[in-house]
Amino acid sequence: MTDKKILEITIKKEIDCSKDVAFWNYWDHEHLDIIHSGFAEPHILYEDRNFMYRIDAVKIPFIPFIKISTPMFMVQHDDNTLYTYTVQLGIVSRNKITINEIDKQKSEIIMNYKFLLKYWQLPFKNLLRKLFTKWNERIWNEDYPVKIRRQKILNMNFKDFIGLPMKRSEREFKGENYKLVLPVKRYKNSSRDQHPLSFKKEKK
Amino acid sequence: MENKKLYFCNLDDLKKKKYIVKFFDNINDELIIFIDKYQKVKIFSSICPHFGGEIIYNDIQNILQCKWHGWKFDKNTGKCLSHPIRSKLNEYEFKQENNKIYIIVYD
Repeated sequence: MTDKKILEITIKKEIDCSKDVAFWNYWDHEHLDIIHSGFAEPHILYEDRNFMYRIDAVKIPFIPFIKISTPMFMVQHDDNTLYTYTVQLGIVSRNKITINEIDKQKSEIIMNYKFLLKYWQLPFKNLLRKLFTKWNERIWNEDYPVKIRRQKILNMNFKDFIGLPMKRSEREFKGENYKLVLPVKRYKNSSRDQHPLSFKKEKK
Repeated sequence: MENKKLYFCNLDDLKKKKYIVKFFDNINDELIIFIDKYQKVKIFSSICPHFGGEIIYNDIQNILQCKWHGWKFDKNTGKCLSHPIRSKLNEYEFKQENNKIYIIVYD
């Protein structure tokens, strides 16, 4: 039996990029406030090989000058599954992201959201469903060209922090797919690590 | 060394748009051509050495900048201004014939 307090939304997509490129996009926290208009000042407080805890300032839809501090916990549960837990506008939610390889350059992404609503929010369930679906569509459209391009340049033998090979003859797919290593590398001065309570900053 | 020229764009178009990004299959690279406020034209690779984002010309700050993570590059040398990275944006030679701009590539 389904819990009436839970708003569940499942969205399935296919994209022409490998599973690791699709996951990279989720774990690359440095693009958030540049690519996505809804995010501001994302700060990573703690991270390790398969998890991360972050505080974002999320802009409220329709009143973008008001920003709310939103905690976000992400964990790479296994090779195909990523969970995120957050509290947005007082609503606790978890998103299970399953990425299945269709082939080496094509993936299926299943996003299963569950929002735990309070009693007073129940009458707005349908409205919230529409809002979150619309929000997901916007984020998907903003990230879509990033994943496609990333796959394209990796196929040209691109190396992170180095670039394309100097020799043009080497700028071709060698048959080996990109392997994601977590956490995604950042420079020491990254704006993601400037929060006063950031574990990385405290360690310095 | 043999060289060949590949058509990039029309100068009037470039003046209107300030920068144009185009992928060249022949050389497997994506390039940016831009014209600064002093009417100086330059061509660089537009693939950011960080994670491969698209480089655009920021005419307000007069620099090249990555669309994905905001990394900044010197518009004259292609050197990274925001991060201590060895790699820089590769510069390409070009030739202007009448109103058309061609890049010069060496085999």
